[in-house]
Amino acid sequence: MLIKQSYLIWLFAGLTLLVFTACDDDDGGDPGPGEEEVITQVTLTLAPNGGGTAVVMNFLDADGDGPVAPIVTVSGPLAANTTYTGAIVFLNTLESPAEDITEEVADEDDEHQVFYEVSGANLSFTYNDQDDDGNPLGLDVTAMSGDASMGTLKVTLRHEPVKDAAGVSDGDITNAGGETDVEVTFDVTVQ
Amino acid sequence: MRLLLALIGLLPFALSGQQASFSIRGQVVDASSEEPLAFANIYLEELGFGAQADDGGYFRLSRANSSAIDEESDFDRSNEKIPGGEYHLRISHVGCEPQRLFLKLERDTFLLIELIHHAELLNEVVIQGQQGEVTTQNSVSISLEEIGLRGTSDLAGLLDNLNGISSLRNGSTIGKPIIHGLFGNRIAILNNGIAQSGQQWGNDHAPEIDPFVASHLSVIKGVSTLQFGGSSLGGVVLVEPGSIQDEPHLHGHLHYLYQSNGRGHALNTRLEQAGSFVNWRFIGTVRHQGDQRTPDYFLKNTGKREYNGALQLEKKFDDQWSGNLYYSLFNTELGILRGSHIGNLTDLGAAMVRDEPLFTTNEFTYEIGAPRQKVSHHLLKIVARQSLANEGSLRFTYSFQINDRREFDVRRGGRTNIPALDLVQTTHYGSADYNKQVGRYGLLRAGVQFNYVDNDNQPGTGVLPLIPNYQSWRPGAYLSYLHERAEWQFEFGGRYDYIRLGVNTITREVPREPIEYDYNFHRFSLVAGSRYQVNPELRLSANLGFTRRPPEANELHSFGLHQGVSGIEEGNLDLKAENSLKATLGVDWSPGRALFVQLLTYAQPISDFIFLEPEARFRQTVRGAFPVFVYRQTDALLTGADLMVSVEPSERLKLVTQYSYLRGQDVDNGNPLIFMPPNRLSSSLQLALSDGESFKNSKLEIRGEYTFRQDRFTPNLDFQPPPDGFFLVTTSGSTHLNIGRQSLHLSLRLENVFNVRYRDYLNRLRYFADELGRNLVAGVKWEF
Repeated sequence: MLIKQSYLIWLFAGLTLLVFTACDDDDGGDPGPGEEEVITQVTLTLAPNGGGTAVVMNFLDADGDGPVAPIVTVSGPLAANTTYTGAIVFLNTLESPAEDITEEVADEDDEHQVFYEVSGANLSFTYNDQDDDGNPLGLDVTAMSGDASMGTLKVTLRHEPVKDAAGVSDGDITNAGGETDVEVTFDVTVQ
Repeated sequence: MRLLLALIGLLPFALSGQQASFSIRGQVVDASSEEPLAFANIYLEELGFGAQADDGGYFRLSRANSSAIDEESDFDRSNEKIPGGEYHLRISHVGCEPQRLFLKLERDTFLLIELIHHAELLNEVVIQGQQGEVTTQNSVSISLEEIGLRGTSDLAGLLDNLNGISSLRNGSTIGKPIIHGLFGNRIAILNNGIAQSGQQWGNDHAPEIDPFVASHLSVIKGVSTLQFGGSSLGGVVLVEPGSIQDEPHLHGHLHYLYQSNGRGHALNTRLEQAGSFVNWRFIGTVRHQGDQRTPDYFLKNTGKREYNGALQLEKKFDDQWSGNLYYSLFNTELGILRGSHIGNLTDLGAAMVRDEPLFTTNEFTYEIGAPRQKVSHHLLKIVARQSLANEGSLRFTYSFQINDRREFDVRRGGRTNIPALDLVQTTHYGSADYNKQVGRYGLLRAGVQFNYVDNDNQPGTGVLPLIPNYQSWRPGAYLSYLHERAEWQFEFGGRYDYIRLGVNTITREVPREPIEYDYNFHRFSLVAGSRYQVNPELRLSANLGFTRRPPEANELHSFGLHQGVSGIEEGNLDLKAENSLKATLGVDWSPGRALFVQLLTYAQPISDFIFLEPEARFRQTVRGAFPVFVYRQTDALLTGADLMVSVEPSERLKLVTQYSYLRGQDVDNGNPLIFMPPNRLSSSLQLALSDGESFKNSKLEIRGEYTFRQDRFTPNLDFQPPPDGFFLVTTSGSTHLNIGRQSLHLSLRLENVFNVRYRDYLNRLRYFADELGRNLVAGVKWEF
């Protein structure tokens, strides 16, 4: 009986020791994993087909979901009745050097689509690129301006949209579904 | 249901050289009222005969037909003689779960058998069964039989039927219990007496416990709990495996359940034996379930898989020392509705106006894709108990838990199979608890405890952690005194914990730098309560408890986007401890067997109540606009009442009606609190059929439940107003087929009988999809 008692006491002493040893493994200042996937910057460059200065629209939210407000810049107005070739770039500037997310989007072209919605201004977009199924992707576009006007351009990148839903392949986002990876709005002027 | 057994009047005179024979007599009474249970059946399995108790609950086992104890009987006593040996008795009574009892017959024996007649009346009776925890606080319970009958439900779903308890859901696969309006960090879940240590803060994190490990589930709807660690402001869920019956034969069951909604299969086994070296019990469960369905469509990606096991060992070393070891492993993989994984507010707006969630297909599948969760939880508990000479006892406990949670989101660049959240939490707990009789009526309980938690984000997720790495050290001590004398019972006590919290996180500003925080907190609880039996029909109880709860790591430091509600959640470094005062007043009134009324009212003011408040302005990000929720403090007041009326017009018929009312108010701002359970009214009619030739204990039940619309809400605190009230009907039937010494339990249960289309305010996926449609659950249990 005495042997059993002391056995139990030793067992508990051992366990207590285990508890306190376990307390020692301090992780130091390990900040945990970094961010890989976040898009912090969207740059749409519209170059006039006849040559001339490209219009660059840039949206930068340097801290991702953090509290700092994004910086939105548009380099200048678009010329009236002009055809532009547009290219869009998505970057993660939280990585150093900045990671180009556009490549990931291009690699998974069947799971992505960029939508360009204009309101107010005389400007329209058409797709120049396609995924393997022949559905549009939207990294490479053509923009055509009309008469002088002012309005906004909303650029949306959708992940896993339903590309064969009505209107989606023509750039209508209404039935696209999926989830939004990018949704930014620029002021546009056509003059 | 539980059975208490007392051997009275042990008469050792009958021993003689030849094969000795003895008599078995006894009385069957109701555990809560002590009233005799007339006409209870007692069956001696080995010899194949039984007896029926008389109207006083008395019986004697005899080979002859007439077995009730008759004062003036000229009964042939030789029929009453049963050879000494080992026997199994099966005791049953209308409306009670049948019980099996092992008896080593060595002398003439009188058995006092206490059956618990209705689970609703259990209250403190059940709590007493747990490690001798007597309390004046209120509680409700679920029996082993009901856990089995509803074996396809998760823990929260099972408890949801109890009065005053509801569940916070994240779709059909994830549920958390809510007790009197509080959940998560504010309630404690005790798995075999150990505070479950997982990621409780997350509204989409279900407790990692298989209800099948329990022999009963209880909820203390009290004011404070002193013996248990955890940050409870009053509510405690107890998952109690119960001790192993002291019986040398192997017993157990094999239980299979099928559920039509989700085409789910559940297989559970329980084996136990009081061996010569050690008493052991093993419980194992496997569950597989595919996509579930609303009345109109499949809920894509709502499958679930579970593999659970538990091993329990008990040993009595000598008259003083006993010990037990418990290990349980819980493994789950569960899908979350695909259509609820959204990008931003625009997506949420689009999802809310859809008839069917996005990605809905008209195809059933068992496959689980992203978003999904994979969680495993280990619990090891070792207890050594010493009985002391002065009728006291000393108990040493050590427990170890590992909680490994991985959550997978729909991601770009082939990252869908890389967890977006990967947390490992390790918990060590040690305690020494002492209890001692003081005088004839007093019970003193005291203890010292130590708890250590290490929460660690695993690298490689590629996502900013939602909660930081942290470690907490928490030594604590409690002291309580209970006095029980005649009709009076009162208790008071206190508990203090010192908490050191060390947080390693990164700054929210870029460039992101590591930063460390150190906190020192004091947590304490004070409790006082009394129970008074005015007369045999009326009992009153009053309890008052104060708890100071310091903020936890997630409330201070969480930072990130919550997919599914598309909100950015931010911790607040300025939080102070919240102070809760809860008062309960209970009335139990039972004028005779046919009527029982139970009323529990409560009021709980909480100063500096920590809650998530949306900021006035949306935050613009590349992904669009998001609402920002920041942890803030306000003064809150919760008031409510739980009412139960049980009417028993005849022995075979019982009508139980329950109503729970709750009102939560943000006193500072004059707003209702968000996500408060709506009021609920339910009624169930239970019919016990008479025993047939082979079918025994047959029961039918129909239950109707009306959940009111939550009319108390603040429009700008939520994306959508609360959904309408709904009425659900559930029917069930069960029977036992006894074949020799074995028993086959058959059960059928139909949930949402009328395939009602509804949404539940407490389901966070209510913005996206309807609740489940009709579900048939069929079960077969072989008991041996």
